[in-house]
Amino acid sequence: MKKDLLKRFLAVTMVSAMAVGSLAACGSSGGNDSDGEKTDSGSGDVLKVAAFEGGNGADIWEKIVAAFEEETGAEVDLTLSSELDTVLTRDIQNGDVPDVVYYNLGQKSGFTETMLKENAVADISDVFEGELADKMLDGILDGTAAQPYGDGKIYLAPIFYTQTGFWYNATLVGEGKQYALPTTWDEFFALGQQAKADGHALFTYPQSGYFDATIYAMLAQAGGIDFYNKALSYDANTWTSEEGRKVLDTVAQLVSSDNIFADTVSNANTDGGFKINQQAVIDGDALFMPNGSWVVGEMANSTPADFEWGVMGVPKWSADESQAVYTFTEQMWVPADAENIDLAKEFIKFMYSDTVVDLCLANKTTNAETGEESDAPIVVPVKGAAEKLPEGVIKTSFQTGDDVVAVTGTWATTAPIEGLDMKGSVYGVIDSISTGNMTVDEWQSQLEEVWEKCAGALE
Amino acid sequence: MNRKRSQGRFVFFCIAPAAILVTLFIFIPTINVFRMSLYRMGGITNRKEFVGLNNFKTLMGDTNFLQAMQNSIAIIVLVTLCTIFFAIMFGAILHRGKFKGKNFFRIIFYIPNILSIVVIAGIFGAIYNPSTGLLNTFLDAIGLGFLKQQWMGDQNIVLYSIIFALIWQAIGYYMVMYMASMAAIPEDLYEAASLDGATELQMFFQVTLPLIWSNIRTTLTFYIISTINLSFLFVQVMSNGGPNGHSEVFLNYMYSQAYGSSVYGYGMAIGVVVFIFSFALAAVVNKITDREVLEF
Amino acid sequence: MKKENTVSKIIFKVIIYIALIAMTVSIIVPVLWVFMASFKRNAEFIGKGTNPWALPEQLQWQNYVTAFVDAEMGEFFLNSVIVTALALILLLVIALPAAYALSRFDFKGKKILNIAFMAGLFVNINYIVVPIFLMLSGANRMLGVDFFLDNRFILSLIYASSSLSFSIYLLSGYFKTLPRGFEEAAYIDGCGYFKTMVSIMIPMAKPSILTVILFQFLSFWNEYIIAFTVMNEHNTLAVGLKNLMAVERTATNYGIMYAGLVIVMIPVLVLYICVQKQLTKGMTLGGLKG
Repeated sequence: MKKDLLKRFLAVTMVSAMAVGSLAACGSSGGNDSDGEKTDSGSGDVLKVAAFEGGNGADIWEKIVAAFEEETGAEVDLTLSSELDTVLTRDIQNGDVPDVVYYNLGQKSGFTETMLKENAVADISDVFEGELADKMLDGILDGTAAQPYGDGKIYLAPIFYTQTGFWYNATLVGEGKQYALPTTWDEFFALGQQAKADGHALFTYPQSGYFDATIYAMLAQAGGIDFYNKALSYDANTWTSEEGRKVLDTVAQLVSSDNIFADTVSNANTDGGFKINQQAVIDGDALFMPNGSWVVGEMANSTPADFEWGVMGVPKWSADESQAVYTFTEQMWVPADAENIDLAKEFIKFMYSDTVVDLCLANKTTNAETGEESDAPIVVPVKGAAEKLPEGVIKTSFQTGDDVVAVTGTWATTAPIEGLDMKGSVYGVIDSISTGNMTVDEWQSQLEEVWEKCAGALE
Repeated sequence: MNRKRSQGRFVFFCIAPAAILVTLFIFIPTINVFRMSLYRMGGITNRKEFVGLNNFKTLMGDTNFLQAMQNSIAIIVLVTLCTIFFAIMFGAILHRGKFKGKNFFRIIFYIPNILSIVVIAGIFGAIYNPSTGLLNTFLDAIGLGFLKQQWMGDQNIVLYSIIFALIWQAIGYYMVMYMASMAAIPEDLYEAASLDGATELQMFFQVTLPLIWSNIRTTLTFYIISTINLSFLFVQVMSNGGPNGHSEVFLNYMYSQAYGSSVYGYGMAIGVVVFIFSFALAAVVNKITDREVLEF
Repeated sequence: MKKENTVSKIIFKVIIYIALIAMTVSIIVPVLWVFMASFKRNAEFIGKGTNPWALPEQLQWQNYVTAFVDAEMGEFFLNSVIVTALALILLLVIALPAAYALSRFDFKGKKILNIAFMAGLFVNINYIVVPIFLMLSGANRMLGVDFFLDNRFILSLIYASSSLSFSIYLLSGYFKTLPRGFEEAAYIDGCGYFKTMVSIMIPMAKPSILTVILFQFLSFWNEYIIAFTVMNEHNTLAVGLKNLMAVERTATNYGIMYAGLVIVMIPVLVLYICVQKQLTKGMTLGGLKG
């Protein structure tokens, strides 16, 4: 018995020794191959484009890259990943820096923010000089989402945009429907009372982070653009002012147990649960939620054919104010250590060409399960692009009237602050406000503290 | 003398490979982590600034970290106690009990351990869902609807929901470990005890428990280490630290700081503190539970 | 007296059965649920009136095809097998002698070595993975080769190293409980140290060796953080799954996600059930010490 075991053990060891030899050989030969590739790519004019693969699908990037190659004759090496932050962190540490990156601000990984804080993003102001200056949508390059340091220089190119607001169940709300569409907060909350009696909650939110656009819009609505811009650069009075407090009180009322869909907080914190909250609007369990136009495509699989989406601006405090609408942009940028900065800038310019504008508007996503294609138009922030959208709720969401103030920007980029979780302390609290575990006063004093820290770290 | 030298040589060759590998792939990287905790750096590019022990000073006053620490300690203590209880109980039943299907139960109990964390997250997502989840619909069905909870939404409950999942996952693992050492207890000890008129329960306390004590002690260290690690993975996929940070644990906080807040060096400082904490905790537990090893 | 005894015995037995069955149900039901979920269409997961416990409306085999193709499961499967097997062999070949020497011999520096290996237990792989990566890429650059990254042998070596502490701890704990008599007898018979270890002591440690194999097999098979960081072309199944999950989560294709989980789970389940018999034998083998 024992001898048997020994024999087997020895046999295994020997096999393993042989395997080690052959595998090591495998590894090194595989390595040589990729080495060869690398030297190839270094010789010509190869642009390394790294793009986040998200809801827009991979297809659009392959098309844009193909069009760019055709137009300029340059060669593009495209990296697509839904975990682009980890992939790029690894590549950059390994000395392999991409030339152009498409990765947004406000992601959980904070990858773009970190690159900005490390001053590792190149100034691309000159891309937007000349003809492009007139072509771009008014105001889109002004905010902190394009000029993160607020120094008048553009580091982040806004390549796509959507208008955000409250998306709602238009089967139940709207002209001639069960409920009239509210415009002021008073009407909004009155509708809540009415809907509650019928068993519909007024409001839900996918995750607390979705409040970013809402709070930006509310700040601008409450105090005007100057107040808003000061708030973005951490003015000490932001939250103690009457306007700031009004925003907090309204949000608190909005998410209080009177108005919120009861499962919201549970779903908001579980994996994939944000979709269940979004579904609640489709199912009529809740009427409104903060979101962007992507939600239509995102929920297409589980939306009944007779369902209608609606979108409105965040309610106002009085009917005669003009409407503040927050514009959400997606950013592309050039690492400061990129090898082909000039070609990279060409590529960014190309993103605003008619070719790309049309490619993006015609974008479709494929349902992995059924193979069905559905429209998923992406809008480039150049004048006239949104007008080309087909009629429908998505086009409505892009419409701007005379009475609309477009708001852009994000909280200004500061030097890194140890122990601060910006998203958590600004938006995460909303979960606790909703469940009644925290009061508005506590939220306010926490925000004051955060603002003081950030103001101190602003360069 | 000669024998002594050849013994020395034998010991050297036995230990050297292990020592080299552990140094290369565990200690040197760890030392690098310690070194990085002294810098202010973003972790992507090479830009960094030496700040000495500043990160640690900041950490001591960081209320988010203190909350994460509190949660982690609660998880470690509760998971360890409950898992030990159930693992030993089931282990003893399956080891000594005389009934059909022992092997079946043992196979089944180990299954949670081979599932990947993502599967477990999917399972508990379906269990804890407030409206359509198994738990709440079950409570409704048996007329205990008033016990329904927002299992992942209530900040006073969420930690216990996660602890339950951790225990569920760990029982089989430790049960198999304890059963391996129970199997090594010679049958005649039980026969002798049985002749003395001991009941099964008495035999458990007088024979089984003392003889697997050293094994239980060994596993206490594993509990500390694996709970710190698994609670991170579970929280990451189950609640992401929410609602509002009430299920945040050590390593989650380390991750969100190192990779989400651009303060990689600070994140590494948290890693250093977690390392020292777990080491110290294990040392204390080891000291407290020190008894004479019984041989058979 | 005797009667009372049997009554309480019956009650005891009933309680035991209830506990065992409760635990069994809590495990089997969710696992079956994952199998069931992998056959569902996406619309059956979210939307009005969806019931997580309802049977799939139809068997959506396409989920499996998509998962298998998208995650390149076929190729990664082979890599996983190679890496896991190699890592287990390396681990045992290195850990067994070390554990044996540490537990059965007295020598200078033993205490320090024990503490050092013990300390290794507390190092969490999650935060040393970046330094390991930097070390390997640095070695590549220094030697001007492309050997250290994306190499299955190196990955196995890292896996083995990462669980050395654990395995040595477990194995030496077991070696300590073995009686001295065997070795002394072997020495008297003229066996050398090496032969005594290989032919007498290691076979006696079979139960704990099996325990190590079982535990480490799973952790190697499911590991993705290190593999994701140091591998590129030769990725493992767990990384393939993780990529699939990341893509399908943004697209939220639940059915495909669960199909991927099942593909990764089945080999482990099958292997576990096969090994189970062997494991039982190994455990009873411990009885030879009386």
